[in-house]
Amino acid sequence: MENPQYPNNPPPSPYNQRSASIPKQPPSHHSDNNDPTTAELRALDCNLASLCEHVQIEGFNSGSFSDIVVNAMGSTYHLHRLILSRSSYFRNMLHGPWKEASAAIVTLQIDDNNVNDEAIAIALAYLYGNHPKLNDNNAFRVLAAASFLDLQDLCAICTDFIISELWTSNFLAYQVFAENQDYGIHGERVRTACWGYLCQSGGMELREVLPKLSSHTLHALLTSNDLWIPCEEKRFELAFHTFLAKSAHCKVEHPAHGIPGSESGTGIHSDNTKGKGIADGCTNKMLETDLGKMSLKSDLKDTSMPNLLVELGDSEGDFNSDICDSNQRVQLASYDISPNLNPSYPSDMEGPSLGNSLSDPDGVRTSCYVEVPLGAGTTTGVGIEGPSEEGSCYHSDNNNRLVRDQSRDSFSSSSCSGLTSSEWGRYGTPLLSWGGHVGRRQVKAHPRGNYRDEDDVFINIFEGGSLLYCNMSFDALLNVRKQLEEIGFPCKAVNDGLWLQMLLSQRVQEIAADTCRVCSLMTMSCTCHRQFAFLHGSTTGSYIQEHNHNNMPGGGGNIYVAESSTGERNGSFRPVRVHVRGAIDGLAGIGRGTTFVPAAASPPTRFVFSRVPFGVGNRNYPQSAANDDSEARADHNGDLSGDGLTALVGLSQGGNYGTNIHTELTQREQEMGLQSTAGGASTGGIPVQLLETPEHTIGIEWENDNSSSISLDLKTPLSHFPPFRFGVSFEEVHRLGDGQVKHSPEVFYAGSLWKVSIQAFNDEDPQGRRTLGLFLHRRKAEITDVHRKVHMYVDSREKVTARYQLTCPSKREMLVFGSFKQTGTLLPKAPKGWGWRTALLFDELADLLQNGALRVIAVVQLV
Amino acid sequence: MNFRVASDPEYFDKNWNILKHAIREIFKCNDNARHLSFGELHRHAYYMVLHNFGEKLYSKLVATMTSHVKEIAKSVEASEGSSFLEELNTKWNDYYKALEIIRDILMYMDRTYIPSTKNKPVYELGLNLWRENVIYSNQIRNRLSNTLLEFVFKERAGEDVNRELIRNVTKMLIDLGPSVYEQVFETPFLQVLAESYKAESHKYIEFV
Repeated sequence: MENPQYPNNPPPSPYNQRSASIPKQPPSHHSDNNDPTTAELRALDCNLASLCEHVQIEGFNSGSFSDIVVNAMGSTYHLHRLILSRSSYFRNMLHGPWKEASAAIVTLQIDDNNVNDEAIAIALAYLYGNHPKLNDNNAFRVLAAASFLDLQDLCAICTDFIISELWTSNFLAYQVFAENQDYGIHGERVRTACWGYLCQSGGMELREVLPKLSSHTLHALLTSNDLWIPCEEKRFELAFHTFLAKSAHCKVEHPAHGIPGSESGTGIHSDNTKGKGIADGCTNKMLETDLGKMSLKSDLKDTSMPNLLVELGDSEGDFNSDICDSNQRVQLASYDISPNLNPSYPSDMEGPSLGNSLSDPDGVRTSCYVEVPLGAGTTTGVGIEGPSEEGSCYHSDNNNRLVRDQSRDSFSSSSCSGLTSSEWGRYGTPLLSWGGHVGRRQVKAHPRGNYRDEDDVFINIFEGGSLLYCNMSFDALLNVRKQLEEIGFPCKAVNDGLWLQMLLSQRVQEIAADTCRVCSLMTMSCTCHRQFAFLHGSTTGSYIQEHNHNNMPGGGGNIYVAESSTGERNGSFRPVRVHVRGAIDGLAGIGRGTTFVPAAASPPTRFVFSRVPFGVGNRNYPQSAANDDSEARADHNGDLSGDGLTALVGLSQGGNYGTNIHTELTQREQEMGLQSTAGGASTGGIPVQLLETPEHTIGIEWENDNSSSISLDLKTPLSHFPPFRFGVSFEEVHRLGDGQVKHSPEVFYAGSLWKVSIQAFNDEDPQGRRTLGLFLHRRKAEITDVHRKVHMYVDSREKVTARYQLTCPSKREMLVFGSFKQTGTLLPKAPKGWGWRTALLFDELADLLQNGALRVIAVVQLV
Repeated sequence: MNFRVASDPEYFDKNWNILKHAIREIFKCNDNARHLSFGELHRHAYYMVLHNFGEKLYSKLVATMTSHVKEIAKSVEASEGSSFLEELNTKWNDYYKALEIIRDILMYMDRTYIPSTKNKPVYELGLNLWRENVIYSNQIRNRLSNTLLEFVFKERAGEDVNRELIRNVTKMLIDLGPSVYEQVFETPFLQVLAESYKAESHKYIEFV
């Protein structure tokens, strides 16, 4: 009844009147004089400032009118409840129903070694308005104290400081700090920064710090796709180096466990300490030099490793399910230690053995890893292959295995003569042994479990499929195998790597031979006869940048070419304004146009992901425009050829090979946040079994987290193979002029040569900031190339479909471009690149560089 | 990413027993907190969380609180006739106060451990436990809504009822989440109301 009247004649409410009158008043004031407001403000500021000063000086410094006494860390503070209640810790304490509520004296007990007197003083002073003065030594302490007192703002200040001041010199301290205690989101931020920094510098500046990290972190790092490391060989070196150094480190830390049983003699412990440094250096050296020079390392190793070996063998039990077999392994992987432990060992260690080679008389103490012969009768259980549950498959390899075991038998029974070569070539180096029995006793002499965790981790790293041995060159593999054998690893993953490598080569060449040269589709799904049928309209999102290589030094040869959407094959060159924020905003552009999101619908991303076919020089391909046309079809082709590949799997009934390899990938611990990127990196244990059943066909995608096995046969799709990772580093990117490009060296993978380039732009960012673009390039390998190696083969396709991801790790953040989850993108014909513009902002570079270089990790997988 | 390393487990049991004892005391009677030291209790909880025992602490807390809430549910279920609402209300008030106190002790856990997990903060956890074990208990849920309706109709019929009590109980339902209020009170209330009005209007129509 009354409501209808209301809109017509709104009753004047007091509220309305007041609100209406308020705006009227200030103008009258203003018209009179502008100054009073400013003066008022100034007076207010002045008042506040004097209040602050009063509170700080009178309150905190002199403790005037104090109504509570706080004892903390041996100091006494005369403070004020009112001020203290800014901290919810004190508020809860003093306002609650507690004993302390009315107490005159409160004692803080803080069970955190990171908190000290100074930190508490800074935190309390912060409550009184003092800004903390932070430095390297107190920032984390103040953070800990602030965390205790629940001063979230102060925590944030400390965390910011820590992150901005995180360097190689203090990395370990902060890592340990954040890892060992839980400081909530602040600790998490420090951890994340450390992780980024570790990924960026772990292979270089922080190399010597790695052994001091926890096993979990190490495992995460060494298997991570985010770790910057030039290649897989280097990654292995790093892991191996870390392993040796860490075990030496452990020995020092736990001397009690480090002294081996009865035979070991007494002088060992001190030697260990001394030997550690040498072991490190020596390992380095060894890793970088020839295969044959293992002497000193093995010398030192036997002081530091026996336990580990036992443990390694033992932990196999967890690793593989068949415990019975693993027990056998434990027996096998024993380590002969006693002969080297004579008292004279330490004295001349540095002298003769440093430059040691096998010819050195003292150098006889080479690798003492002895496999205890168990006789042919037990061959089934003895095999070096990981035990498997599929017994039948297991037996199928008996012959093969017998040979191996025999060679092993002869090897170990031949004791001192040692020189046994086998068809595997792995015993080519003289290996001397002093009988396995001692080693056995060693097994018993050591209580297990001391290093169990650690060894599990390294077993996992070396044997769990996280090191992509298949991407190593053959000579590197030989080296790796040798080193792993030295310390008693089964080397199964290495063997598998070789298989994978050969198979990949086979598959790539096969697929290449089967691909239409015009349209880059598999022959069977080639659509060349109607090749431009769906060309139109699909071009919106892509931009072509033609860059004439010859003009490069000038830096001015930067022309953007718009795709001619009318389908004319020779699209004219014309500069276009690149509307980065348009259709290609967000991730939409990658690989397909279907996920297109209107710019308005999503908040502007800081990094614009634009697919940019990127031409660097047209020497080989004058018909660039024509190529561009085919770019337009890239999206379609990318998808289609992906399908085609899968179809191919069903169709190509490859030769009926006697054996298919069935590889089981045991899923190991997934690291936080790695899952998305890791794929191969996080998949574990690869016991290869030789199958007799050839109908084992399609495996599961490599990157599938739930995969338990992939099948390796001549039908395996490329996407089942592990990805390829390589790290590149660009010096002085901050000096890049507009349009200037830097290229990384090329690396070989799957019949192609790959590289990353980086280019500076000044016209990409809507706000006019300078940006950097990252691009991945691929061209087919050429046998005549300087990179030529024995294992090199050619993927003759002009364009391949791949998925890839470029990562720039830093303490500030982990910048990831592209995604490994996409189905794949048809990469443009060389010399173009595929990548992201406006990827990085120049302003941010300072936080992204390490030693002045931008480090980029590329992970590529053909699909 | 990287991992946190847990340190010695022995401390945990010792610390937890102290906390558990305190929590029990507080549940027994809120006033007992008067004899307890916030600083000390907080210190134990802080220590556990700081040294990466947050998860363990949380699960122990859930167990302790659950068993307590179940006890309450039993005593409420056992209450006779008219004292039912009063009993529920008293228990709720005590529980709510205790919950706030416990939340204060475990403030460090709420601040650091909880955000990194999907677990509920202490306060929310306490409400959830109460809802699941007390309000949604088979013997309480229907009885509660019936009693409330009964009160409402008594009042409409002119009888003298404890309005304060009804207000407190409905407020509790609202505190437990709007859906709880809806399910336990609002919906049945509106239903019954509609029926009664229907009946009444029929009466009038018949008269006319």
